[in-house]
This record gives sequence, C-alpha cells and structure tokens, in this order.
Amino acid sequence: MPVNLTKGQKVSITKGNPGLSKVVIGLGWDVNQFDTGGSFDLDTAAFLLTDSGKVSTSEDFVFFGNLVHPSGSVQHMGDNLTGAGEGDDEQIKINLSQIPEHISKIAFTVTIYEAETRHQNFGQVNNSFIRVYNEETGEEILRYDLGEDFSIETAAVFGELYKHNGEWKFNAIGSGYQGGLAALCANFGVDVE
Amino acid sequence: MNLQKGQRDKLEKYCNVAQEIEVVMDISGEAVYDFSCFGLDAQGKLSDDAYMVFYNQIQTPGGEVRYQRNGNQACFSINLTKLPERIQKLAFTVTIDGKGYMEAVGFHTITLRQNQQEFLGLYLKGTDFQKETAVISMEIYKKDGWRFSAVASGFYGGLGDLLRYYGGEEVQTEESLTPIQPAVTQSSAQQAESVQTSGKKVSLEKKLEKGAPKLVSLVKPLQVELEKRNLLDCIARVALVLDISGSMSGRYKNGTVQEIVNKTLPLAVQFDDDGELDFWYYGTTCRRMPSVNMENYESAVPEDWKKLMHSLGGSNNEVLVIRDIMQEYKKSKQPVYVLFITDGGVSQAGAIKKLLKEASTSPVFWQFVGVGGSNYGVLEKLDTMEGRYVDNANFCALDDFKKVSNQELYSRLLNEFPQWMKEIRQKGMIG
Repeated sequence: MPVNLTKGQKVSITKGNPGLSKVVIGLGWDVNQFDTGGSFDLDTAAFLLTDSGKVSTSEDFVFFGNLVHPSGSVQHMGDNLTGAGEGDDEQIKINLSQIPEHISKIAFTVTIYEAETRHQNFGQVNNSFIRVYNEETGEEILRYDLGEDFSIETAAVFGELYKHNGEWKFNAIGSGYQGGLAALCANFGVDVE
Repeated sequence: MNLQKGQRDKLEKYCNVAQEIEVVMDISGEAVYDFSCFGLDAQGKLSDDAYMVFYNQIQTPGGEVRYQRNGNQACFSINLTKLPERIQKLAFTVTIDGKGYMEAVGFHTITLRQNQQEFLGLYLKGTDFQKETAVISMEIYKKDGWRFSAVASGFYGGLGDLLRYYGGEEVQTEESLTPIQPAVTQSSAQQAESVQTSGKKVSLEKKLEKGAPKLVSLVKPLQVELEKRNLLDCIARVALVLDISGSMSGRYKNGTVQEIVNKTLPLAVQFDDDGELDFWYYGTTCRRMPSVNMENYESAVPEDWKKLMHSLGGSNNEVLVIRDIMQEYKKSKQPVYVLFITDGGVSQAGAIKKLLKEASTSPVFWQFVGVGGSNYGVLEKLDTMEGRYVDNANFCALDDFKKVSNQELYSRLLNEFPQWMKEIRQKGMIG
C-alpha cells in the first residue's frame, strides 16, 4: 500500500519492509507547452550529506556530471529514460546497505537548467512528484505530490532520505530556492567553480 | 503586491474570493490587440463555448464573467463562487489581430482589484516576450481553493494556437485519423460561429471575397485539389522564397513573379490562420521581407525590383536562404510548407543535400519549383535522396507557368505535401 505524503510528513521506508535495500527514487513533472522561453531542461541530483548537513567531498554530489557515487550506493540514471517506471522523468537508484556509515541524509533535488537566461522558474512546472519504490518488486512505497507551494524559485529539494535509529526514513520537503543549482550546491557545501 | 512572471499563490491571501474581483488588462503598442477570458474545465479545455468571453460574447450565461473594453484596456469582472462547478479555471489572454509581435509592446499589465483597490499586479514589458502573437497573461484556477498563476507565456501562432491549446485536440485527431468532411458546402456563417473548429472557420472563398476579390477565381481549382488530397482542414504556415538572381530578370519584368505570388497567396489564406505568407528573396545573399497578405500582396514584387536584385547580388546562393528559413522555423509547432521558386543554375549540390538532411527532423516541407527550364541540379534528385528522417522535399517543374491551368498548377504544388503531413504525424513531429 503506497503512502501518499503531504509536505513535511515523514515516514520510515525500512520499517515493515525487512530486507529492503534497493530502492528507486523517481521524480517527475510536466512543463507547459508554450513557445515563450524555449524548451525546459530539468535536472535531478542527489546530495549525500553528513550530520552537519554538508557533503564531505564533491563526489557526494551525484548529478548528470557524476552519475555514480564511489560507494556504488547512489546511481543517477541519467537524462534519457526508456519508460521503465511509468511517469518518472528521471530516476536515482539507491542501495541502502551500501551507503557509507558517515552519510546520514540524502537530499533529492530538481533544478532548472539555465533558468535565468531562459527566464524560467517553477511557476511553469506542474504536477511535480517524487516517489520511492522497491527496485526488485516494483512496488511503490511512497509518493509525494508537491502541489504548488513554490513558483518563482529555480531549484527545489523534493525530498530527503535520512537515517534515524537505524531506520531509513523519508521526509517530504518540497522547498524551493532561488539561484538554481548553484544555490543548492552552496547550501550543501559543494564547491562550484 | 507586484508579481513576478511565473508566480503562483492562493488568491484568498490577498482578497475575498467570495466577492467580485476585477481583472484589468492593459497594453500599449502599435498592433490590434484582443482580450479574452477562457472558462476551462478540469482538463484545461474549453468544453463550453459559452464560457469564452471576448468582444463578440461579452458575458457568460450567468454573468459570472463580464467584459468591458475601453481603448487598449479590458476589464473582466468575475464572480468565482458563482461559476458552475465544471469551470475550474479562468485564463486571461491577449492576442494580436493581424501584424505584430508581443516583443514590440510598450507594456502589458494585469492588475487584480477588489472594491477599486488593486491587490495584485503583474507588469510586463516587450522585453519579457519574443515573437508571441497570443499570450496567456494570467490564470485563476481551483486547486484546494482558488489560486492565481502569473503565466505570461504564449504562442507564436496566434489565436489559432490558443484555441488548439484549449480544446483543439479533438480536431487534431479527427484531422489525422478520419477523412475530412468537405467543409465547402457548409455555410461560412455557420462555420464562423463554431470557435472550436480552429482556423478553418471561415471559408477560403469568403476570405478572398472580402480581402482579395481579384483572386476569387483561384478558389475552385485550389479547393478541388485540396479536397482530393484531404487537405481541407490542414493547418500549416506557408512560406514563399523567390529567386531574384540576374537570370530571373525577364520573369520579373513580364509579371510572372508577381503572378506566382498571387497564386501562392490563397494557399496561405487556406492553411494559415493568419493568412500570411512568410516571404524571402534570395540572390547571392537573402532577405526576409514583410509577410505578404491580402492587403499588400500586389506590391510583393516592388516596382524597383532591380534595386533589390542589385542589393542581394546577381547570382543564386540557395544555401544561405535555406539556412535562414531553417533557423526561423526551428521551433515551429505547426507544419510549414515552403514554396521555393528558382530558375535553376543550382550549383552547391553537396551543401544543399546536407542542409536538407539536417532539416528533415523539423516539421518543414520544401517544395522546390523550377521556372527556368534547365539545370536544376540536386533539386531534381530530391525524391531519391537518402539519409533523411522523413522525405521532406519535392521538386516540380513549372516551366510552362503561363500556360498551365490553375488546377494543374495546384496539383503539382501539392503533390507530395499530404504524404509528408501524414508521415510527420505518424512520427509524432507535430502535436
């Protein structure tokens, strides 16, 4: 039975799912079909964070330019998906048992590429969601539809996986930021040139 | 509060949604602007024509939306709580009637007022836009209560694009799947009333009668060819490219080129909802000209065409103009039919082939027409050229332009176009 979360809600994904290790994070959205502003390019990323809320090396930032974390625990499936997992625009695979001990949180983000030059923001993006499903069975564990609580932002944290008393839990964040990917990187301690 | 483009929020934070709200739209610029409010269902479609409010229908059946116009200002008075349940969204739009683009407006503002007090305002300038001719300025919609969205985005294809966006999908499918009913027999007044049948609401005959009566004799022969090819409901932009290299001089002098324009214009009036021919001259270089329409078509070939010929250089360079046209329609959501008139002497075979291959993924069809009798080079071999995503070009000779009947003329010009339309639909290259 998938759980539908609302903003700010937290739920354990490992409790009641003994042996669950491989999950897929699916993220999706619709963009408007206008001529104005040209085409949209939305990018997902995962930030592997320590207790301080920061990454410890730049490799903890998994995105289109660094698709696999050295531990093998987080794998970004890239921009082009071939219909596996209906409705997801991008996917990130997680192997919970391989996540290094010092990582206590993984944040999943969506940013609009070249938002400023193309005059784009999340106001032109609809029906955003993030969902978590069991990679082996395909069973959906939870889903969070983001609604319309942010609009003029160009970057957003859709949700977080975090460790709590030995369990992995999911937090439906749904917060937007202005300043695109650079702002998120700064927030999470990733050095960008 | 001043809004940014794209901003969304709950309306109840700013006003009393149970009371009347005024949506006031202003615009400054040289063009003719129309304001409309579309009342849309949960799928975002205009399922009930009675909920499109504009100059021709100034209020909804229950008066929930009322329109008033004063110069370049429109005021929509809305009562959200009185709207029927099926109306879930009001979209406030501005469209340009005839010439002009949104990038040329001085300003465009949308303010929301209650009891004469402005509580939200979106202030836009020409620089916020590009070549749009239809813009959704603001939406007010129901999603856990009433919300607004400062959309400020739109389409290059005018009201036709907007209508398709709000309900033309059925029309598209019909067009691609079932044979078209001959629309000619229907009275044009009836057709004009039905907003949802997109661009073909007024018959070609009616349009030409009103706008270019000298061309009315072309209607019948064209219509026969359109009907044969199931093209009566086809929507496409039409572009005309004219060779103005030195060897064409005779044809400019004896009026053949102007004749070509005259006979091409009805295609644009038929296929394109703005009824305009996008227009290029090319010689050694090329120049995009103001679009040709029913008002100005008789001066498409200027009296001092020689001056133009000199300024564009005496030889013919197809590559530059093809590239320019490709650039223009790169983002076109509508199919584009390009009529490319040349008298031959085509030399850059390799470069042209390469360009046409590259262009074959865009919804642009290239109809090359030879009017000079010989040396059409690569153009004659287009049909067999390989390595293209779709067969996007055809060549026909019209060396006998002066003698050929109008029906035969349109038959040659439209020969491969329907096949291409079918193929790009099958490949999902257009909506």
